[in-house]
Amino acid sequence: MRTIWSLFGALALWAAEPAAAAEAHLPFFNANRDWVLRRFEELQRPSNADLAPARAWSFDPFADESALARLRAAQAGLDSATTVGDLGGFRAALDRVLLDAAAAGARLDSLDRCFARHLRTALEVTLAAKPAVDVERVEAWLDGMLVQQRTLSDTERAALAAGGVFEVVRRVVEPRTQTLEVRAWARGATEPSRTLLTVSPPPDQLSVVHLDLDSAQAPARTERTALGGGN
Amino acid sequence: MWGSRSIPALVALAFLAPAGTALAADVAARSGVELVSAAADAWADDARLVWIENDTALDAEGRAAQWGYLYYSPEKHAMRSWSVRDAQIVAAVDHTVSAEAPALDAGWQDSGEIVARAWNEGGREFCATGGTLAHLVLVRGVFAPEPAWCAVFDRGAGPSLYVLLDAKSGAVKKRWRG
Repeated sequence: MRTIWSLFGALALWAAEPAAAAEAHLPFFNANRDWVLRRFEELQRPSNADLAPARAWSFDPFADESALARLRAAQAGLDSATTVGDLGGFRAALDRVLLDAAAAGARLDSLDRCFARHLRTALEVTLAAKPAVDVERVEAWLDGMLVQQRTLSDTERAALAAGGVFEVVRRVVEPRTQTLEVRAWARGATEPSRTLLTVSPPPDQLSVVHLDLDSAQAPARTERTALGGGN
Repeated sequence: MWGSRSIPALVALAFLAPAGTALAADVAARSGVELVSAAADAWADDARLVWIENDTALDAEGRAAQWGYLYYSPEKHAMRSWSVRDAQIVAAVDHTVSAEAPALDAGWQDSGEIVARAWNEGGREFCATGGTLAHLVLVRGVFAPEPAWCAVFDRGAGPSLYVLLDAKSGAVKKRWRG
């Protein structure tokens, strides 16, 4: 009998552990908070801010803007070729174009890697709806906080009715488990369709949640994907 | 009251417990920095890490199952902290009061590297008749102008032992009881 109670006690302690751990967040800081904050306030401030310059990326596949001219020249070279030597000139022009294309492709690959490396943790929510569901307003909530509300323009509603996709929200988020709620009001409806889901955006990736709304009242069907990181 | 059928029920209960209740592995302080920096990035563009502290009990190697990380944003003049356990953020807290806190430099030694010195520099002797390493705090500008680890040994009753170590070299800067 004692063994059973011990086991039960251990299980209870085990289940209670995370709650206790959450309460013990930064215990030393919280126990000495006023003193610590005073110590911070007493510090001398540096006069100049360390502002790292913003880094700009640029991409122009044919920076000298001669790609089109080269293609035209190559085309003209072929059209006017009357000798084997002319064909040689055409071949040389074509090779230069191909070299430029290969260099542009390599630059694009490099930018792609840079983009993936510098992705911030972000969440994008998109919405598609059946034509019968004429969505006119949407709201996005994260952990009970309203983060986006939009009234769709006539153009956006027409695009949605024609099978298009509407971006409800796209924002940088914390990489932790959160509750996402999307409310979508159809024309004339007093109550929205509410779609509630738990999201856990991985760090440095763009998490995409796509909602498919079949009905003005029921929750939407959801699809999730992620960009960046190991993808 | 507790028949033989109850034992399998309790075992089943254990397996039904939420995933978050599982015991987490002890890790060093730096292991959570990358994750919380992504969270801090979402909170404020100018967020800077100003305080690290163990949120759960430390082992002898300076590792804990859960660590807390406090950030300060000059633009918001606000502090927000995150608690990391098992490579997951398990708590995010906005602090009601704030002070402009200096950033920790990146070149600090990890908790596992620093803790052996703290034990050797008085911790072992202090805890010889009972006691433990209760807190490991990394901060700049509170105990010393430069980033420093403060190891706090506690015996439950009476004054605690504080051992202050330079965060970059690991050298002991100061010891006191209080």
